[in-house]
Amino acid sequence: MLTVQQLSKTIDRQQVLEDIDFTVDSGEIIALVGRNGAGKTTLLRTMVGIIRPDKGDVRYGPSSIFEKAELKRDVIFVPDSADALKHYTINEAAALYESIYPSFNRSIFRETLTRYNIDNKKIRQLSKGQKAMVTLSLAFAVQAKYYLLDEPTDGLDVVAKSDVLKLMIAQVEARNCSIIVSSHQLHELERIADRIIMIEKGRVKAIMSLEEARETSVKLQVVFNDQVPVELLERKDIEIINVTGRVALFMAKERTKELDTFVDAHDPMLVEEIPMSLEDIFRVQLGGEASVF
Amino acid sequence: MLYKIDMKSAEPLYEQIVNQTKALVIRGILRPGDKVMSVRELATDLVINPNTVSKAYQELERLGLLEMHRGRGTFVSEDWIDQDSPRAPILEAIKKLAIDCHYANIELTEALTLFETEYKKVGENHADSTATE
Repeated sequence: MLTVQQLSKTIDRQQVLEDIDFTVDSGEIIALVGRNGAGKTTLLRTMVGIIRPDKGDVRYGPSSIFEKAELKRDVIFVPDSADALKHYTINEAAALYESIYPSFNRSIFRETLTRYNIDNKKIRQLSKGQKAMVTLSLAFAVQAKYYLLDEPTDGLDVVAKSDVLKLMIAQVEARNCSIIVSSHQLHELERIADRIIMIEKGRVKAIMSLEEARETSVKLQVVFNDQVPVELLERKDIEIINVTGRVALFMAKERTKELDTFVDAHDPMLVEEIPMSLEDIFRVQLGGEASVF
Repeated sequence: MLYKIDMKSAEPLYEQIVNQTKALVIRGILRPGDKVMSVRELATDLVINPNTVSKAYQELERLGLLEMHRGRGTFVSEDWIDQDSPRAPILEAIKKLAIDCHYANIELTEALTLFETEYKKVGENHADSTATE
């Protein structure tokens, strides 16, 4: 298990990370979501030991990454651009990885490249999508336990994006590794993430499982025979979106039996469950302040 | 593609897979003894989290609809009967349908005939698939 404990970092007198706390289990895909400048990249770089935090720790199992350098072989950070490798050919890059990581498996790497029809060229000659596939394939061929991917889908077309996501899914399924992947667009990751960590101004704003939220939260449109009952409007466990005549539209963070009984008792003509958008889920989970999107 | 994942639906993803698998079996598109996609295949195909697919498969196994055979894959059970099929959502859907029919000026007799036709269509397919056992 990976544990991030009270991680804080100030760069140029600006607090970039503030008391970040979370854990990641093996086989989990975590989406790290936040606006540009929220601190996503700094967090990932700190988690892999590139940046030293002012306070806090990052532990992989029982050991801290800042104390035990060998851990870095099992934690791979993939930056958002392949710039560092651009003068290498693909084979040279593979040789470099092989010299750094003893567990690098060349045949796995070759296999992935063949599947996506990528020939041995200089990395700067590749398309953006191909670059992304090469850097990810290099990283995955190491067969590490933890992967920290910085915006791997940024700027890619739909097909390349889907290839990248599929590569990630196959890795997690095949080897039960964990992936923490950042993006400023939640929509790209909502399908594949077990949990979402929202980060804003260097702080964790919310950690949630979308699947769980979808199971517990509800958005209801209720048409009453008579007026919308005042007792409904006064309930603390729901958020009223609007009331038009005899129709009330509201969301509840948790759909309780009591709520259903309450609605039923007020003689509704129609109770309809309305699909919740991502924005709805965030709004109801965070309590009316999801201004992030 | 047999599955359609709707991110906008209120239904959790794993439930969508569970329900759609049930529907595929009831409609005879998946038949008893058929091999279904592995967790990885379905997850990469749909581009969704493999844990979500696992959860759905576990639920389907619990319901007796799927059987996992180590090393061979996952198969549709030979003797699955939809016992705990939830009636509540069906009654709910019928309620809504009744209202829609009213608005569309569809008389009760016509609505019943339409329903009967559809019901029989599904029944035929279902009967076909069970007859081949």
